Amino acid sequence: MFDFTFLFADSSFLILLTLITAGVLTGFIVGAMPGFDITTGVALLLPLSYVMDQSEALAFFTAMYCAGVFGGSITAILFRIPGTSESVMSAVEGYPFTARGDPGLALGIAIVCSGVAGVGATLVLMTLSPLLAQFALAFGPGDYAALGILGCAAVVSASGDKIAHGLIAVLLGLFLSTIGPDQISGAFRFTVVPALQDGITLIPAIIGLFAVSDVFWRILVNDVPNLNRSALGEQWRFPSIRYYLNLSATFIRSWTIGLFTGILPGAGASSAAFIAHSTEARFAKNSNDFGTGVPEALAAPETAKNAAAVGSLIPLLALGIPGSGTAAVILGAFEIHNLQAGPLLFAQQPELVKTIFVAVLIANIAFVLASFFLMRPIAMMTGLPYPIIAMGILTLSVTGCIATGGISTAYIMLGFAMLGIALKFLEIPAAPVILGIVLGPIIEVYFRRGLLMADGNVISLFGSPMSMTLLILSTVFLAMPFVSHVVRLHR
Amino acid sequence: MSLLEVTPLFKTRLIGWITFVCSAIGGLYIARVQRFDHYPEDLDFLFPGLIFLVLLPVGALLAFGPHKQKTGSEDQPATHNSTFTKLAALAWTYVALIDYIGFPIATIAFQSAVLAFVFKKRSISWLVVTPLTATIAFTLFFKVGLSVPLPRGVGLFYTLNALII
Repeated sequence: MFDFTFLFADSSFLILLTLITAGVLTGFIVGAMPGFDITTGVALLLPLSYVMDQSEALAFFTAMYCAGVFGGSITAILFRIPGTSESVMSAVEGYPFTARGDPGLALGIAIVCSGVAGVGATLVLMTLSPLLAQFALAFGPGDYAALGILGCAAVVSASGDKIAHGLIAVLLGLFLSTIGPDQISGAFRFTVVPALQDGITLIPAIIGLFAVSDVFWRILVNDVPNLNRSALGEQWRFPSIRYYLNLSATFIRSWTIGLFTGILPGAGASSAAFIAHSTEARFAKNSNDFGTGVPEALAAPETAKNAAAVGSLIPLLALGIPGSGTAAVILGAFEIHNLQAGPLLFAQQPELVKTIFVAVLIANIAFVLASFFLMRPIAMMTGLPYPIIAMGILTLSVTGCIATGGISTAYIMLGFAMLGIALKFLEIPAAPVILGIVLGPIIEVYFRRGLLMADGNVISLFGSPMSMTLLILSTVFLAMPFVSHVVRLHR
Repeated sequence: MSLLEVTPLFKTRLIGWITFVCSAIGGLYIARVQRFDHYPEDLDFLFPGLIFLVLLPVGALLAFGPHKQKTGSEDQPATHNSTFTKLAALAWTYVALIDYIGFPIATIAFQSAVLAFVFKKRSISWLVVTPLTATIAFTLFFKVGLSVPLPRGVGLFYTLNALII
């Protein structure tokens, strides 16, 4: 799995390298731009896949993803405006550095912690995902259905106190995945309007729920980003090696948290950043000073979010189950190229998998190097007026949908935008809906196929030790929020 | 009253009611169409049925169950309902018309309208130059860069757009 010589066999490596660099720069800019989430950016640029071959497309988007998760920290630290949802803690803990005239220290911590965390997590990705895929090759239909259920349970469990909201979001996604022709019998289900005849594909759902609904919401609540760019004119002082070494304990703790949170479906980089930050507050002696520019408080979320971003690719590649909303969007790139992420990908297209590994590794190194040189110009580019960003998102969304599936796809996308507004109003998270749409067909198809093979016997379908283990784990995940609630009540 | 000036309890109850009513209607529909005569075949509606079965008690719990009374709205932002309505209406109209009047004209008109009615821009550079430049950029990106065919419209619009794309 670690033989990468095929990459250098012809000139295609240079093209790949160029695309990875382009992906890093695009991710960097998109992530840094307030009002333009990395999930949105990846979703909007998915039509670019059509002009790339499968390895180029996947290399580009995974590179964009890795750089984009960090990119949000630039505006978070310099302007206190998180470019992405993953960077909220970076704004809280990083901006105080800028406020006291030391943005370089915060940016230096963010760049190095994110980069090293990403590289470390990539090595785990390269080691763990082939093993996981090998293991998953022996899965039967019941095991796959149970794995899908585990994915849903993990997403619900990640909703914390609002477990009912998370459950409703996942179930809504599962239901939406059933609209259209049934994958086993071909019968049409819930196709109440002609636009739904082909069912709901991932791309309009993602673009509508994330990109367009975000623009609508910002207009509804008048939350238009406005940047104070005075920090750009200052001299920046970056941290010394000793400064970084002092953060090593924080780094190890947060990296571990980030990696495991990323591997869990649904939790994603945002949750990882919050969990790592609160964990660090428990360990730190100066936790009362958190929020005033404490290096550990910034290093923790920065490390965790990038470890989680790469970690979320492990279940995506090995099992076909995305670990985050953006990983689900990358699944859209697989869909465009008629690829099925999961164990068979490792068996049938090992070179493609290795290309993705290399892309993630190079992206994590490249964005660290690019950060030191390009951060200031990129930060200046983020000052585009919001009307132009909004107009660009809306036009690109409609045209992108028309390009991928015609006018009916654009209508579905707008329907999802309205749904996104309703979800935001009701404080129901949108990412679990997407994960539900992804996991729905996995659960249903394997469940029904298994049921046919088991002659309708549900107990025998889920009778294997693997299925039982996965279902028990699912129950544990679902019970966890209730148990922690009861524990909190008794304290 | 602003759209968002509602209590968290109201939102929870609303989610509960929507979930309960939708899953009850969905469940009744599935009970009517799903037959088990050929079990385990022909289970087209079993999975959505199971989804509604889980959703129904969750909805009931949120709609009718006991909740901590939280009064007052929680730091809710003020809403601009009319601006949002204008933007949503423009977006739906844009999608509805793009097949008939073609991509370039529809896009220029849509962008000018968004800038004028949603962002209250009044200068020529905003209302004409920006939409024109953006539309040229998008057309080049999709048509030349991605080789994606863009809608050309019908009748007179087709002729007009054919000159551009």
